[in-house]
Amino acid sequence: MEEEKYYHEYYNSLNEFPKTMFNYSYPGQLKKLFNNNVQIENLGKCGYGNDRTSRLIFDLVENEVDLSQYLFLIEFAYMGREELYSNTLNSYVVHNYHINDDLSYDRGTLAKNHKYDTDSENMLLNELSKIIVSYNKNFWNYENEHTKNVRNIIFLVNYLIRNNVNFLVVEGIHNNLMDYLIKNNNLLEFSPHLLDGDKYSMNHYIEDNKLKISDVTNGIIEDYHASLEGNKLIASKIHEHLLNFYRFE
Amino acid sequence: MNKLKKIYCLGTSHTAGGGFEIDSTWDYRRKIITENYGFLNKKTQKDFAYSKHLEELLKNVEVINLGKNGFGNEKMYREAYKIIEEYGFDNDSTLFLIEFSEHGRKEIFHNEFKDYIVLNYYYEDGKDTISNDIFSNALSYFYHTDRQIQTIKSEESFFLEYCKKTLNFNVVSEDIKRNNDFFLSYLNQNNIHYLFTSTPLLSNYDVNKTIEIGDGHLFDAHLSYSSFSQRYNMTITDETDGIYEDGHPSYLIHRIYSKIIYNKLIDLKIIDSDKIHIDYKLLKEYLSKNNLNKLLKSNIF
Repeated sequence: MEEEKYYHEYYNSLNEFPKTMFNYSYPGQLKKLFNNNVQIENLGKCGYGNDRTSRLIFDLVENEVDLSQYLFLIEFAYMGREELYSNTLNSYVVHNYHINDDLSYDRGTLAKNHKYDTDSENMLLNELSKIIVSYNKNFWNYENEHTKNVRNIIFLVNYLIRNNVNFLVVEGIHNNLMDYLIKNNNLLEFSPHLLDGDKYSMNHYIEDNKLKISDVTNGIIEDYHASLEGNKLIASKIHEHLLNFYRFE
Repeated sequence: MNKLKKIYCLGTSHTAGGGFEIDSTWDYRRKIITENYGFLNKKTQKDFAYSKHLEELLKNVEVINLGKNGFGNEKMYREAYKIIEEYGFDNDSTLFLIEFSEHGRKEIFHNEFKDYIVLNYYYEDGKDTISNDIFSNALSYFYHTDRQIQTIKSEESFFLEYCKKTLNFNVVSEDIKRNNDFFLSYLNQNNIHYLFTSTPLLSNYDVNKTIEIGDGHLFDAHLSYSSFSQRYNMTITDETDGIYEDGHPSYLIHRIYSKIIYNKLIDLKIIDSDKIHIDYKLLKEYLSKNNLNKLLKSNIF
């Protein structure tokens, strides 16, 4: 309750309208920078990760006739996000889990829509989580999951390249792909002074500029997502990059 | 492509030489295969597969059979990726022969076995529900130790429950298509040479990569030797006159298929040699007289 109160105070203090999740995200801010002349859809979803990203991109690419008018801004996620299909909810759900220091599976939670699931959905999710958590406690393996995660990113990026899809990776790029993506302007150098992949990470950029929600609220709200100011900064960097490399009417 | 040096065969039991587990840990399996095929003096399951015959035809090319009973596309993606990413891999002298599979195969890493196991499931009519009756999990079908069997049996009901709760026919179909497309993109972008021994579940794929079995006159052309063997009653069951019931392709099919691949490699100018004649007329004659077993022993193919 206390935390919720702080969130309200924080958002009420911000002079940014409309007060929607989209407008407070970097895609929403990017749309403003383009003066609403470019259609921007934010398909990000709390908790979800690369499984969902791959699925949505594939559906869009397979069903789109003129791909030249589209660009994907991709935030690759790290481990701890597994998408599953639930036959009881008739929906995709996400299994978010922690990894112990010894690289074993710790604990997980299931959600269809984090913070928006109804009581009846939560009941079904709790039921499902028993078997999912038990499954992962017995069969989850760090090395296997890590390799799979990297492989899936590499496969997806190859699919995008093969289909001449415009894309920009803003987070989570793998070393194997870096040279190619730098050469083809599929990466954005957010923080030139940082090392290796950290340069191309919007999250490191925000951390470096101390613009996480926890930073701008002086630690009152312990939330490590980008603040509105942070998202504005990310959007302006992306905007600048896109103007340099793409033509907009 | 430079001089062909290595071929990797990826796929399911159909690639591995399913039905020919002569080196199995199962007494019955070993016995019945030995009784019916012992005269061929084969030592392992993979000695029966098309990969072995192809290696004999190609002489100086190493043919590695990575097919495994029960396993499917996930194993194939994993192994191909590992081979290609390994330091020293030469894409210009390597060819992959790829057998895509469809539903019913889910791979899981097993921490106790420190290896991958597979869950094989089937849908009941209507495709909405996973069947209780036909479900199995395995580390290596027909090669388990007693201890492994104990573990596997004890986990079966748990895995069945997991599959029933999370697998859905339409969702899995979409997953297969997407993953196949991603995998093929990876191969294409990395200039990997490959051919299909069974076509992928995809709306679009490169037909130049397919290998046809059947002459199109006496036998309809098929893009999978497994479906060809079933269509023309050339399974192990047929080859052993029903003594050994197994629906996998017969030994004859494996031999014929190796020659078809050999000819395809000549067509594609991957190797320089004379094509081998496949006598479909003779095959038809033997089949019409239900003499497949006689044909096997005649050594004509």
